[in-house]
Amino acid sequence: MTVAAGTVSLVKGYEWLRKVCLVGGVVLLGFWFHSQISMINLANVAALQLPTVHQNLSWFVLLGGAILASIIVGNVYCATLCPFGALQELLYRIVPVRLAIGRQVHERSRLIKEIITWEIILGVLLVGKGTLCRYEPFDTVFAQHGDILNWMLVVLVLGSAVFIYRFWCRYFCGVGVILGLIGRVNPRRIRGECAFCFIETGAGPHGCKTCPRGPRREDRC
Amino acid sequence: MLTLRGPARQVFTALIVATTLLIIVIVGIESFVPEEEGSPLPDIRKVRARIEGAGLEPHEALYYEVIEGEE
Repeated sequence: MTVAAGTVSLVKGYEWLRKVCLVGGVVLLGFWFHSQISMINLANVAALQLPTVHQNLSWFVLLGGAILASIIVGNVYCATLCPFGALQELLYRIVPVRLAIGRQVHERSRLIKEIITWEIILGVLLVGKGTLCRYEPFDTVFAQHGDILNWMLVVLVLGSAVFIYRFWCRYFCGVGVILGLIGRVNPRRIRGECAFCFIETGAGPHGCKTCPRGPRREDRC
Repeated sequence: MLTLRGPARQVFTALIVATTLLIIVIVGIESFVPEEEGSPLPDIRKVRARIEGAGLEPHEALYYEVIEGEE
């Protein structure tokens, strides 16, 4: 249902519905069920280590729905459902201080997540160790499960997200990279780089030139 | 709305570098964690082999593993 609502919010352009989905994502997917999509999920799928369907139906529905929505519409999960992305957006809107970075710096920095993601995927497939994906801060925040280094990463990332829109999503999130890549299967998916469309890069626009839903809005990029 | 422009690039670079280094350290440490202890989704074949090796029924194996884990 949440995937469907997120898809509608993007296709129809309902910003209020996107916000409702994000809040729902934080509360339900994040703090309640701890069932956000992470690199561990995607790595296990890649390694064909799947849990049983009847005991993990919600996991299959969420992951399957997110992948299907990525192909048909675009990166719906990152834009409307990801609890950690929503948490970062919330922090960004609370504090009215911004860090003005150039487009060139932004574009270069985005390469970091591509490099990290493919290194990790390669490591998981070659070495067969799912634990390599445990650098993500999701579990630490929502399940309060992590050591001192994990908590340091959480503080650093959420602290940065106060000034930089979706800091983790834009520069470090492997889930966005993979869902974005899956979405490229369909050339007719929704494209765009602004925070609302969000879909093309999975990372928000900072300096996007074109957006099918209207002019760029700096405070959302 | 306050926008920091002067030192913004240096601050941003510092944040990016610090986060990247922290991720590298975390991944480096995780690479030394044995799979049985650390994997959230252990290889079912290994688990089955361990259960059969111990001569236990599946529910007994789960029970003993939980108790051991808590201790």
